[in-house]
Amino acid sequence: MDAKSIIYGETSIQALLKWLRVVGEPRDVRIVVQRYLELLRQHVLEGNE
Amino acid sequence: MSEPSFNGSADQQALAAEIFRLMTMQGTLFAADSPIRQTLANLADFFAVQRQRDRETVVQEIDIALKANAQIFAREEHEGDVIYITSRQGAYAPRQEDISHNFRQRLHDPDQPLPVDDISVVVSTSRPALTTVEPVFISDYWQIQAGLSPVETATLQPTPEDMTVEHVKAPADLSIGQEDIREPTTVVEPVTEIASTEEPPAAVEEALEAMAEALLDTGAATPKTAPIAPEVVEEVEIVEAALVDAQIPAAELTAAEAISESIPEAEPAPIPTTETASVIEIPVEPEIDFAQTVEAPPAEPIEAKPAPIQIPAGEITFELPDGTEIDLAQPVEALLDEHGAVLEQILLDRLEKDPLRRIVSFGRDLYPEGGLINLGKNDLRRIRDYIVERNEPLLDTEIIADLYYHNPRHGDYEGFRFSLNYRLHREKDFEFVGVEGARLWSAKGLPPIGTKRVKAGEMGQLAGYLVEGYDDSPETQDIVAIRENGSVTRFLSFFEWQTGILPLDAGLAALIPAPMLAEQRSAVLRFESPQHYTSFLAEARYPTGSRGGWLQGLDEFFLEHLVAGALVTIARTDQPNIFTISYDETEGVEDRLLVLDEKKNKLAFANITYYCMADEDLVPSQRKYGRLKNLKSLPMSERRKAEMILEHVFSAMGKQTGTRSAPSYWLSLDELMMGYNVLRPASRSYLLSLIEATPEFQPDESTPAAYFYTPEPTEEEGEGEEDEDEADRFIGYGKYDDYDE
Repeated sequence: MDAKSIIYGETSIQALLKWLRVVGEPRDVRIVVQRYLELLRQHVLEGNE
Repeated sequence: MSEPSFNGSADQQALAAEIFRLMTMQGTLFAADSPIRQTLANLADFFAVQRQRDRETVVQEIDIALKANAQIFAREEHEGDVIYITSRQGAYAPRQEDISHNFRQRLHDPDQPLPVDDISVVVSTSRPALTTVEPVFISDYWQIQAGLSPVETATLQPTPEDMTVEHVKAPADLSIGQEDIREPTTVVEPVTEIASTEEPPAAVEEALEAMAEALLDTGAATPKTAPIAPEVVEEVEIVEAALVDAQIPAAELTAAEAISESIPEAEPAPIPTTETASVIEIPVEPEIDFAQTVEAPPAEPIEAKPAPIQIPAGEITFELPDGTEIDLAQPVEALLDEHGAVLEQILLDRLEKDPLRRIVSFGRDLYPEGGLINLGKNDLRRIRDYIVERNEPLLDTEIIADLYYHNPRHGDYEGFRFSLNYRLHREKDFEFVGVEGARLWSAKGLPPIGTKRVKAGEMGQLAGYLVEGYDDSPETQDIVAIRENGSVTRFLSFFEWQTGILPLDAGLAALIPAPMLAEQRSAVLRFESPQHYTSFLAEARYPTGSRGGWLQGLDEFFLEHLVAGALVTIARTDQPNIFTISYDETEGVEDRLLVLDEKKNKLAFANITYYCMADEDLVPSQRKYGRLKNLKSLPMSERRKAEMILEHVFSAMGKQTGTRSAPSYWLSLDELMMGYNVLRPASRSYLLSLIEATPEFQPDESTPAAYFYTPEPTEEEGEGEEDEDEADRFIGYGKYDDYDE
């Protein structure tokens, strides 16, 4: 996907939710943001491939 | 079952008969024609022992006897071992299954088949339980009966032009009517091309192709059967769709997979439930327009999968709502270091506004809403009752352990803990009064902490000077050192000592944990006195808007062990919500100090012996600050009026420098500070700002840090001015009216 179309806080939230479910425990927002940025990057790169 | 007759000599017959009995006994539960196997070695071992004879001789005798009865004992040799096979019915013969006639075959190839135009007889019209996409098998028989001879020889070689995306395109609409049937080429033609692309299943494909054409012809010729015909067309398409995957060369297949992956979650279209019951309802993927998805010219062949694209930095940049650009090419750690706070806040805000509330938060923790453990009204009542019973705010871990017997060893402990906090946070009967690391919950019904003399609203206004920029503590205290060392030392004013309330200035705020939740208004802390082995609760009220913060609940400790002007130290402990409070002990000092007579609500001096280190300049003793007695113990609602208190302190404590008709008062700033802080808290800079803002206060040019207060003469005072005599002038302290009495 085009990175320009990312809406921070909305794009890939489902994937973030899935990750949180798998983790099974509450996570600090710092860690969640870190994971979210990784997901966004992955999303963009896969989209471009 | 009768025993068979045996051949050979009498001994051989007897031996064969005995072996037969042994073996049938061995297989007594076998089917009559099942093989019963036994080795020659086993038989020889048995008879050699039984008959007490040489084993080799027995082997020879058995072998000869059974060879003589070969019609009953079949002989096999396997890896050097001789095996005899018989059965309960006498001789073993492999079972022969008669499959010349069976029901399956007769059902499939009936003797008197129905007319082929009624295809619904052949293909099920019922909806499958699971809507899976699968080809429908039409037997060769029916294809032959329909006049469709399977083509076994013709195989069309695909050309590059045949392998276009357009040819893979499925029809967009399944509900094909008669119009669609009369234009068969639009649907069937591409199918034919795909079906004939490559390799063996050509016979089936062409049969299907021919069948489809024939059926279409039939449909066109006999309008009555028109609704049936499209079903066949769809069936053919489905078969073709299945065949596409199997026959497209590798490169094209990879491209096709890429195409399908690019289509997010393409699910089978809902099956239309039309009145035409004969419609074959087999789900396909009609809405996927491959040509549109790829946006390639129809005539161009599909290209092989390209190599992964290397994206240079800067091309994966997106913007935050505030315009900040986030370059995903940078390491995540670097992004967090630079924009961490903004990214966290925006994410929390977005999640908060998510209408589905998929991810919920409590403090800095995030958790999926679907994983929350449900706590009902009964749970909430139990928790509230327990908090009230314990008579103080409780930690979430205490509640969980005491009421739910959960402990951190449970796998769902953290999830349960989050659920409890999240749920209580949404209830109005509970208030979060914890800090990061100690999540305390208060409940409606708990007694308030601290003095009742000062209401929260009033105290917020009294401490408002701190948020207005008149906090002197950064100048007098090392805030960084307080934060690092975890302790703060300060002198108590009379107001602080009397009420047990410490304004939350920068020094104290550096020590007290920040609020954990955005809307949190207070935190309950425990103070321990190592000198007296006591502990008590105090409440930190955080500043909001124009109201300052403060720490309350220290009144009992202050009144019991300290005096105004005492030096007190507050320090952190390992627990984020527990602090120690201490002071330097001294020999007893007896003095006459200012106290509040609560019965009369008046300030007075009383003899007090204290044992703590104190600053003599700040201790309100009668010998040094005797005029403090003139101050009125005004109600707190009055004390909110800063200017009025300033005038009152000047007129009560100031030296009279005017006349009764033209009163004027002089007071040093130190005395003003002392007097003012008897009635309400204030900093030196705040008092100076008040003085500067009021024209009635003028600095004494001859004495630094001293001021005159000249109130505007009232009308009554003006009238009496005429009668004033110079002899009436005298130097004194306090209000002139006081001397009239």
